[in-house]
Amino acid sequence: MTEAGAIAPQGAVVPAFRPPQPSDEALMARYRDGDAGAFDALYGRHRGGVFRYVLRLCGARAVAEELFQDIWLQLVRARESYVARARFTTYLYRIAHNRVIDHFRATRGAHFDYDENVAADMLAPRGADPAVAAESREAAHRLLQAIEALPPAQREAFLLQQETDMTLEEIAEATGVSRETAKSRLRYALGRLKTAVEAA
Amino acid sequence: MNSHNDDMNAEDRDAFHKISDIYRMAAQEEPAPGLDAQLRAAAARTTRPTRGSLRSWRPALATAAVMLLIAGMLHETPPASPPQPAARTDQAPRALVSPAVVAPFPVAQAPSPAVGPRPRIFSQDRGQQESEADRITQRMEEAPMRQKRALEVVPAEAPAAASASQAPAPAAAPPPLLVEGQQTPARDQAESAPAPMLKDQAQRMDRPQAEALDKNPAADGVSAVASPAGTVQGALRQEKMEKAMPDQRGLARVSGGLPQDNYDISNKVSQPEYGTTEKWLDHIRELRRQGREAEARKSLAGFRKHYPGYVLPAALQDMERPLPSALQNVPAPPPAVP
Repeated sequence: MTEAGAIAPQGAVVPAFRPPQPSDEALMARYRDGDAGAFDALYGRHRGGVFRYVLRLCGARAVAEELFQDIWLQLVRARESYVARARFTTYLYRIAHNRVIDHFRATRGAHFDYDENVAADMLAPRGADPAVAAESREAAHRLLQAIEALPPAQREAFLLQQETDMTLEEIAEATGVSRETAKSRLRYALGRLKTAVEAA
Repeated sequence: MNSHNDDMNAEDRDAFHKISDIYRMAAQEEPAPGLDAQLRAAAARTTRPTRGSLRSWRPALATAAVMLLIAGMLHETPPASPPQPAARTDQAPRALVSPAVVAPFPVAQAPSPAVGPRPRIFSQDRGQQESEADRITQRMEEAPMRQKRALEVVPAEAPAAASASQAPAPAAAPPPLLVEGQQTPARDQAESAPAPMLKDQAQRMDRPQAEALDKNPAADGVSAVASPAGTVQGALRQEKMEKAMPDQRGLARVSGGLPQDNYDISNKVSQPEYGTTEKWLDHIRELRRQGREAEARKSLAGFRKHYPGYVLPAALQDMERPLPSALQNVPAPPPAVP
């Protein structure tokens, strides 16, 4: 008797063995116990999402980098008290949410001026047809403008859903609202974005 | 897929997927590489191996230190002596001991040559004290002869004395009795208390205190009060002690008693069993008269342990000749304590 999959049929492509990746919670626990490599792995997984989340909310790259740095340093400082009660993503974005709120309160006005340079950084699919690429670039531009035009709460709900694949419950927990509130925000955001994209 | 997708209809779900695709294509911003390196370095600084290893070793180090302290304290603490009958009259409950409880002749049953009876500072009978002083004067005159006789006697009674010195002896030296007057049952019990406890106390006593007691006869409080010729007696005693039993000198200093080859006024003042030597000898004579030769010899042996240098009357001197049968009953001496 042979084990299933032990003998591959001729010509079949055997997928390369990939060891299971440790969860975010396990990595954070290892970092809490002194494993600096675990932090590198965590940072690599979430650096882009957190940065875009902050950038879309505050609009300016310089401010976004400052807030981004503060968020990760706060995670470093709080590592000893970390307890895996929920998903690490919720924990991380809760820190980010609080930091952005503090920034809004400190700037008194919470203006969400979208940096035009950010829109110029939009990347079209490489190697695509120039016409298709131009159309995609235009669609992305409209979408980003529509996101900028969203109320901050709806924008935040949309960004969390897009960047982290959070459930409604997790979005609600990260933003400190009820599940129904988070669901309502997300629904309104999608409706406005759909209108903006289809208008073209 | 997210939970909110369940609440959408098919059209909204398609629009949602389209928006997601456009957003993922458009949103490609990344933090600056310099910022990445800065944050990774900050995170690595908090997890330095030296700091972590020190923290992990801290409880182990604390535990080891506590264990060392406990071990040191246990090492320094003297071993608890087994429960003994009251050896000190100031600690002995007097009402609990009646004269009937005390064995009539404990010295004869297990003699203790190592520890002599501690003299009392005040004697009950002042007339007796005066007669003892006269006897001291006589004894000092006879000292050379006594020493010669003792040297002749020692080989004959050496095995018995050696074995008896190692055996646990109920006849112990009581502490100085500072109360003048009555002979209480507690005193009797203290006199018959086992010797090893006092020996243990003597070994535990610190050396400077013992030295001070030995060098200053007046500080002893025993020979200065009880002996009219205290200074001469003290010098004689110290010389003999150093000559004879170096290992028991400290014991003699502490207990107030003297080595067994060194009879002096302090021993004479304190009569552990019969009040006076005459009474004790009378008792031995009575035993002989009744034909209880073995008991008489046993009592004499106990007498000799207390008063090694005492010159027996002529009628009793023949009892000190060793008999083979009597020697056979003496247990073998244990190895000498260094």
